[in-house]
Amino acid sequence: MAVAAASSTNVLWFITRGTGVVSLVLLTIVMALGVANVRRLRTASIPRFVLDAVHRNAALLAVSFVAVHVITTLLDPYVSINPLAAVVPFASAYKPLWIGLGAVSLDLLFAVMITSLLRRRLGHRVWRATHWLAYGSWPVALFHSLGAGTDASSRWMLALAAGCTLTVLGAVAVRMSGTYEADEPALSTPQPPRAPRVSPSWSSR
Amino acid sequence: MHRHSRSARDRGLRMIANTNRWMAGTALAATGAIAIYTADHYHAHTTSSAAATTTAVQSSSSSPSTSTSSNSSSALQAPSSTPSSSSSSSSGSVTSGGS
Repeated sequence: MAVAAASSTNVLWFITRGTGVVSLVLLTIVMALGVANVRRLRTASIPRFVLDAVHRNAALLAVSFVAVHVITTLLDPYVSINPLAAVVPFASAYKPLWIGLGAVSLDLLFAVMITSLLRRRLGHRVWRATHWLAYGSWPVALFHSLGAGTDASSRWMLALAAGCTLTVLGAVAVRMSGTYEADEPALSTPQPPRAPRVSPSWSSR
Repeated sequence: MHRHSRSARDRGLRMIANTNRWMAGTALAATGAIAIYTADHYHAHTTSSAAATTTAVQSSSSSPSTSTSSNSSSALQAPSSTPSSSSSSSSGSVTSGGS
């Protein structure tokens, strides 16, 4: 009986760690795809709606893994974290800063997810403004994993964090460079026809 | 033209389905792999120190003939029963009798 209790505790702990790492990787994929999608990344073999769908489905998968990560953390009796501390930033007695960063990231993620689900009702401008919160959610999640994670000091975790950072920075660099502008003329907003230039009346005098 | 766009759409939908399957499967496999890796490379958090101390106490106090059975049961001790007081031998006997 005690063996079962002890092993189930450890299983919760191992699942917490596994889902935390996988959530970070999934959020990185979502972030990179989102940044690339803003630039209307399109290749010859992948239609744009495929990138849209993969971005959305990866985000839903990431939210699912984050939910399992949070639930197993709350169920793990090794540290008693108040369920409120999972959503209220810096309310945890255990590692308040790092757990608080996780709560901030979770809140931002939920805000982005809910506004995305209600996109048609909210309108594009509100959705877009809220969607920018994702840019804050990802680095906060990265700091949370490096600060609160048990594996943060291990080489493989540091390499993974560096890889995630390089992926997002690469996507941002591609976006900032404007590589796709020439390939995608539909990106530019249509300009109204220019009025014929009329010379001012005083110049003809 | 219409047929071409329909085939492109079907191809895209297949691509989405395959990517979803691949992503979910890889994420689940990675979670399991990390969990197994951490279970192998790191000792369990609550029971590791307790198991180590109880094993040391048991091996120094109990007879060597019953060391294997006492080790397996000592790993199940609660952390409160592991201090190096003189009553550890009596608590150990109670635990082994209970199991």
